[in-house]
Formats: sequence, C-alpha cells, structure tokens
Amino acid sequence: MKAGLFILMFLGIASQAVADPEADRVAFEKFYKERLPGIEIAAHKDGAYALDAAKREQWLEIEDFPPYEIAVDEGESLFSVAFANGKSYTDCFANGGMGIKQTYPYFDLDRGEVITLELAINNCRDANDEAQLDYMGEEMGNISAYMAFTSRGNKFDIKVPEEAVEAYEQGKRFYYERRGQLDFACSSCHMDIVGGLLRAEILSASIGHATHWPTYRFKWEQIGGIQRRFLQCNEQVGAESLAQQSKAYRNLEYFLTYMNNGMELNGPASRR
Amino acid sequence: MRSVAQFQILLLILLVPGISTAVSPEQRIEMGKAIAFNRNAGNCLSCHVIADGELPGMIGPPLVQMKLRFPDRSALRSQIWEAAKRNPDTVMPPYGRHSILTEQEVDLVVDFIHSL
Amino acid sequence: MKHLKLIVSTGLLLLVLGCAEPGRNAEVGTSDSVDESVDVQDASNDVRSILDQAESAYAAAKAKNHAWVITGRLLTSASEALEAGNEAAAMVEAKRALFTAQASVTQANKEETAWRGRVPK
Repeated sequence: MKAGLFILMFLGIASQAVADPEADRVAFEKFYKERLPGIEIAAHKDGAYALDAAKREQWLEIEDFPPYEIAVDEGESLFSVAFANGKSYTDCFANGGMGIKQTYPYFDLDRGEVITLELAINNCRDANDEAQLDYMGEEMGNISAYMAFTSRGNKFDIKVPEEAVEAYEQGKRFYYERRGQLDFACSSCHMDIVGGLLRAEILSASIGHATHWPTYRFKWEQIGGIQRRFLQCNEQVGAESLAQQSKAYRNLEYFLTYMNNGMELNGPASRR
Repeated sequence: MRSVAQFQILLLILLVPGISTAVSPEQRIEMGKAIAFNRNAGNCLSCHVIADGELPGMIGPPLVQMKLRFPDRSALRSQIWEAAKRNPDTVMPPYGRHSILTEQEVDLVVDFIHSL
Repeated sequence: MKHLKLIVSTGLLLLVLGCAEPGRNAEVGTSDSVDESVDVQDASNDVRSILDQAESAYAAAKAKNHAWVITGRLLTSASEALEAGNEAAAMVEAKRALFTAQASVTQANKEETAWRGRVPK
C-alpha cells in the first residue's frame, strides 16, 4: 500500500517536471478559440485591431502611410554599413540576416540561455569590437525593424529543446504570476478579461502578441521592441520593471513567442 | 479653485480627531467620488460605468443600485478592500489589502459607491 | 491628482504642526532641550529601524522580481524626510513602505504555486 502511494507520488512529481510546450500551445490556442469564437486565430496578429471594426478602420488608414517606414529605410542602410574591422551584420546571422526573425528567440545550447534578436544584434557588435546599442534607442529599433521587415510573411518556428525547458518554464511562470500593487498577471488582462474594455482600450489576445515587433507606438513616438512593452505592462500594474534583455524578460519573450508558433510575422507595425 | 479649498478644509476637519462628525454624509460622498474618479487613486472608471463618469471601461459591472446589491455596507467595503476574498480569480485590485488607498480613503469610496 | 496631493499635504501639515516643534527646539539648544533631543534621537532611531526592515523586505521582493514601484518611492521619500529632520512624516512613509514591501513578499510567496492554476489545460 505504502509502496503504491510512493509510486503514485513519484509519477505525480515526474508528470509535473516533464513540461510539454506543444501541449501548452495547443491549449493556449484552444482557449482563445473558445473565448473569442468569432475571430480566427491568424487574425490576432493585428492585436486589438482584430477585435473592433471601427478601431481597425482607423488603424488601416494609418498603415497606408506607415510611421515605421523611415525606420525600415534607416535600418537597411545601418545594416549594410561595415564595422571598423571590415565585417558586418551579415557575417553574424544565418542567411545574411534576411528573413530569419521567425526563429527568434532561440535557446543557445553553448551559452545556455535564450537569445533574442536584439541581443543577437548586440552580441554581433560585441564580437566585432563595436559598442553595444541601447535597447530602447532608435538605432536598435531601426535595425531590428529592417530585419523584421525582411521576415514578413514567414511563420514563427520556435524550438524548445530539452535543455531549454527550464527557461521556457520560467517565462511561462512569469506570464501567469500576479505582480505589482494592482495584483495583475499578464494572463489577467490578456486571458481572463481579453476583449474587454479598459476605459477606451480593448484588451488584446496574447496569441498574436509576438508577431508585429518592433512596433511604432504613438505613445512612445518611436519604434520599440516587445520588451519595452513588457516594461510598460509591469509599470502599469505597479510592479517594478526589469532591465531590457534581462534573463526574466528574455524567458518571457521565449514563452510568449512559442505560444505564437505557426503565426505569420507582420512586423514592424504601428499601434496607438 | 473654491471647491479645492473647500476640499482641504473638509480634510482638515476629518483628520483632526474628535471633530470628524462635523463632515456631513453628503460631503463624505463628494470626497469619496473625487477619490473614485481620480486616475491615480481609485480609478474605478477604468473598469466600471458610474453615473457622471466619462470614458468608463466595461470590465466589471456598472455601479448602480448598490444598496440593493450590497444591503450590508461592510460586504461592499470588503469587496473594495480585497475582492479576492470572495472570488480568488477576480481581476479587481485589492485597494485596501495592497494599500492602493489608505483606510480613510477606502471608507470614503465605500460611502460614495454605496450611495449609487 | 490635485485632490490626492492635497490629502497628502494636509496630512503632512498636521503632522508637522503637531510633532515637529520639539525637534526644532532641540537644534537650537535651549535650556530645556536635553530631554527633547533624546526624544528626537529615539524617534529618528525608530524610523531608522522601520526603514531597515522595509529595505530588507523590499530587497527580498526584488530578488524574486516582485518589487513594487510604490515601495521604492516611499523608501526614498521617507529617507528624505528623515534627513530633513521631519521624523513624523518620515515615520508615516516608512510604515507604509514596510507595509507595501511585506505585501509584495507575501504576493511573491503566494505566486510560487498560485500561477499554475491559471494555465489553460
């Protein structure tokens, strides 16, 4: 009897330890299908504009003359400039850096950590003795905007090898933990009350949260990456934000992007 | 400006022990309303429709007929203090439990909401 | 916002009026200032001790990525008030800093397991 109980306990612990990201993703998708039955999963790449026809109309008008167009152009010229040692960004990335964003973030087995596109850009500069770029700065925004632009239409294909499960689980935990004085988890707004009206803002689905970065936000008057949005979300609920590209934010981005696997990349984009 | 000065006087009266009874219920309701509508305090309009309030959200129920819904004032206070006590899955911030508002401010907000 | 500021400023005003006088006398060094300077020293130590507790709870929350913005602000303003010699105001802020720091630690501990219940199956 006792032995049987131990075996049951062991199985219980084992099943908790073995994470299954794909099962998580399927359940995540199913959640939104059931919660917002009128909206195709693919449509969520437009965020809140997938949920409200009038707001979508206004947004489409803005996208006719996209505010991120200059960023993409600037990014293209910055990307092609050679470093002091004669090399360039193209030497750091697969396929010369073109059309590769769907594989970011990835888990680097040698380093044992999650590498986002922005971190890879700075790692590339490091390796070539160039100064790091500010993650909230314009230059980083422009270069990543250009790289995202060349990846448009591709579909997210994030992998979670066994060695990466812990990082993935950390990110998942960050997403579901309540935080800050207001006691909100990411899932509070973007799952529990998704589609609801917070003042005049519609709460978007997290399936689609990774597709459109970097994004020109009118609130920022600048193009910025997904982690800048994490920072802002944290502060909006009264939690202290973390450093850009901190381990916790990279793990969160890893989890969130995995949840977007199979979705089309449509960055850069504009948001209010 | 006059109303602001009035407000401060009301607070003075309220904060000095012993003479807080000098504040009328109507004045308390007005003070509670100011806290409830303030975006940096109660910010109740983020999620609730309230009479007189502009640009309300629609996450929680509209705040109407509150005496019918909460015949017991202390149940309403508890809901504002820590809504998770009644429903652990709530997204309503714990205004008292997390010191988002002071105890006095919570009481004023309760007076206002209960008057709706 | 204006009203909130008024609430705070009015509260502080009362505290200053009610409690800060002995401190000033002590600095001037009048003949009856001996006892009062001891009081001021005590008050200052009390605030210090609460601030220390708040700092350590805040650090614990921060280590778990669960610190709150308000705690950091209150710690700063409490220290500033203490340095300015306003023990009473410093005490009010330090106590609230401690309260929010402890609440953020409680939240962090609760969330160690609570998050699992929110994952869709």
